[in-house]
Amino acid sequence: MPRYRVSYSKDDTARFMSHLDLVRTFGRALRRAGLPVTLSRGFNPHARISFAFPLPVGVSGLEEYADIELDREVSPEEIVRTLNAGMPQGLKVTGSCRLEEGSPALMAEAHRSTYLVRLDRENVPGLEAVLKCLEKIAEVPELPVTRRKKDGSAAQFDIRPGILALSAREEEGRVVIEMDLMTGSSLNVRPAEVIQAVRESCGIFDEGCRLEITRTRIRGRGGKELFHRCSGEGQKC
Amino acid sequence: MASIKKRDYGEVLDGLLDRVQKPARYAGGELNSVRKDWERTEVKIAFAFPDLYEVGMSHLGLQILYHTVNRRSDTLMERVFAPWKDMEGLMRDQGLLLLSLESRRPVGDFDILAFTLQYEMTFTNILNMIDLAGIPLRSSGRGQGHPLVIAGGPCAFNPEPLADFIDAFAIGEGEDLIHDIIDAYRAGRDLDRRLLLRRLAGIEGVYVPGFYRVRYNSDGTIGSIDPAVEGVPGKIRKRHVSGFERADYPVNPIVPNMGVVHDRIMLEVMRGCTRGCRFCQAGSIYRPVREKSPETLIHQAGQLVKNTGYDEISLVSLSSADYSGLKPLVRGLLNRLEGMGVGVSLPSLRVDAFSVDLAKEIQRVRRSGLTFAPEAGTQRLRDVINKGVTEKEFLEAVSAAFGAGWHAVKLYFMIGLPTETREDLDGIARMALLALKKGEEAGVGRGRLRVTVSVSSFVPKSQTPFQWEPMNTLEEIKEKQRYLKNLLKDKRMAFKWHDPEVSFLEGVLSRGDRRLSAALERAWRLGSRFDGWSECFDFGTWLKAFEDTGIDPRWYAHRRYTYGDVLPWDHIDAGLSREFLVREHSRAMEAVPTPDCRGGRCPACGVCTGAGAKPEIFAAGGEDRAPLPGQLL
Repeated sequence: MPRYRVSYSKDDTARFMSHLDLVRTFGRALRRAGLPVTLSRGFNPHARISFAFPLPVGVSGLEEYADIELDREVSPEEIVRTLNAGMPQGLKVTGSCRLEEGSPALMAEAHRSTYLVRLDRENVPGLEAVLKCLEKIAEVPELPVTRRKKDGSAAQFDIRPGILALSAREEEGRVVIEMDLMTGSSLNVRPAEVIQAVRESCGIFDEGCRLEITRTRIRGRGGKELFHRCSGEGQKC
Repeated sequence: MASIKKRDYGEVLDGLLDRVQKPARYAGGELNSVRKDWERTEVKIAFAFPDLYEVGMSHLGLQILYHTVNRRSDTLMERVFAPWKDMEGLMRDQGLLLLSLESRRPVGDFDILAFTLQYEMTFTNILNMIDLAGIPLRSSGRGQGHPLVIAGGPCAFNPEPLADFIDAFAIGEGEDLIHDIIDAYRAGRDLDRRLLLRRLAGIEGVYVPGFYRVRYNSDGTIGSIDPAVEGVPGKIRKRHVSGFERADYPVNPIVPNMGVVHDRIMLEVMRGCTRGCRFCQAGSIYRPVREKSPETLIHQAGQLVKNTGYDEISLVSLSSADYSGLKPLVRGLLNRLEGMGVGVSLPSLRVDAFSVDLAKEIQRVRRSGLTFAPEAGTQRLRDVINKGVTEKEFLEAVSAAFGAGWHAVKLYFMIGLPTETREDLDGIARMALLALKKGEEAGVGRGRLRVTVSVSSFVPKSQTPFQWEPMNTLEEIKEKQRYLKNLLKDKRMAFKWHDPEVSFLEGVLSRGDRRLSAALERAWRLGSRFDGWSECFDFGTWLKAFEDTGIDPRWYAHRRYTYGDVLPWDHIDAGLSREFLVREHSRAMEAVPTPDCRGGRCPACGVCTGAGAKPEIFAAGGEDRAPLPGQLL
């Protein structure tokens, strides 16, 4: 069965959708699109679609990915066009391409994500203080944060190995922190955890500080684009 | 409170959305939601659902009115729901007004704020939403610059407890009435508010409570309810839609961005119900029964799937198994939709083997259990309430359910029904045990067999044959619940009951008069919100509110009215004649059932004769019951 990878953005009001709601929304959009979706077997058949690492509720994503299995070949352009006809505000399919036979699953390929964290201008110290703090974090050998385990108990977890790059700049009078973090089953770091670490180690902004977080891209190992395995006309999408 | 510039409301809201549970409740932007040009649209209506988004978005009436109003080029309708506690706290803290979902404008900027009244326990949310909108709470405090606050829905059939807060009530079905209201508003919007309300009161189905005077007798009962101004009707007759087949139906409903209570296509196969259960208000106020043809429904279903992408269609109505075109409808739907992975479901089953076989036939998603509602434990009491279910039918239904592979059944009963005795409670336990026995006989595995008995408390409702009946006292209900709990101790049984204190308040409000407005306001001021939610409901707050306002709630809940009493809702005419309601009540007291009018014997309820309505049955002169399962597919 032909497999397709689509890239999409999720922002505006759609950033408040949970991952489960996103999965349901794609399922409905596929049905509306009338694409020859491959259905899973079982009592409650559903479309064969898989997503890269879920975005937390409230976080925007500019370049997210999903893999879809179809019963027959369809042009990538048609996939983009028909899916977009049935999407809510803020959810937009931006590209599609056919995957080569035997391509690994999205979850296995996704390795690192880039996030932009825009800070509320009222509650934040200047760029200087933020840069100083990021430098400090880059130098520490360990950066433990508290994570809840499945059973509800709390445990310390070192996120330092998962932080690949940190930088900060000023845009329109607001401080923006850019983070390259590991995404994947071996090590996964969330931007909120880095912010928490910054807050705890430098004490530079309080709990009430408003953060606007955007995942700008997801990449594979070595920064490879997730469309790199694509074949056929959709390659450049 | 900080003051917020108008254009910044959306931005402030965005800031709060990162701090509340389930922000999608307030975000909007869903597929098929409608956003019109504010400046270029003449009339702006905010449809307010006084409960959470998840509840309101499961309500078909919202989708119908949203669709029919937004089809007009001169009017826009946007939505607003009750904010949960966390959001309310932040809004009050930040001075953020209640905003509509679509354009994120303060609800107070709209011309009309329209509430739907689905449940008495949402009344404090209505007050809270009016207050969060920055609109004066009471009708008498509003002036030219405020939206018109209107309300409709089932609870408008006794609107009196809300009389002080609502400018005008819409009585009956809204599809046509809302257009009449919009037209009158357009024509009269520049008039003085009182004159505008006078115009509205001239529309059939509109009740302006401020134009009526209630006189009380020295014992506190109502002496009379009369128009206090000239030209308003003495009785307000409900509206209903005729030509239901062609009624405007939303084939492009809003698809929520988050899981909601009923997250599927709702295909309304008919409106109204002919069964005549004497406790049921919906069965009274939605008369006469009106069906759509299978052809129309199959066509609408196709469009709905195309426009929403849902994979499940629920055939909704008060009793879908009674729909006379069920056989061609189900056959047509399955033919058309099966290849698309779309399933069909029935939300409520009739208590008979036919319904079970039907469910087995169509239910693609096999849920673990089936639900039946015999409502009462003995034949005598079922005859009293006119629930046309026999023990034979019940046993056939549960046998069929277990035989077909279900291993759990859920049984709905009511306690506190008029004339109820100990024997009727024993009957509930007996039926539950019989169901267990049928499960054993059908060979349901030991660990899997389950019978759930869910018991609600009877609440007398206006416009029904039981409107004169008292409600059991709290002590009686609690004692009956304990009694049943003792009888239902088998490990394979589960016993569930409703909070008696919530039922008590429902009873107070469902038959209350406008003096209750004071207690309602007091309860809200003391913090009552989301009273239908067990985690929010606080009975103590309500008791204090009644005490503070000098109102004895028991007088309302436990009062037995006589046929001669003036009832608080006597001026609201649901179309059922008084003679019919009295006759049905006395037949109930003698345990005499009244046949379903589909069978051809007209019980003379008055709707078709007095109100000029007609039943619209698809299979005219055909089967009075749905076809047998053997003939189904």
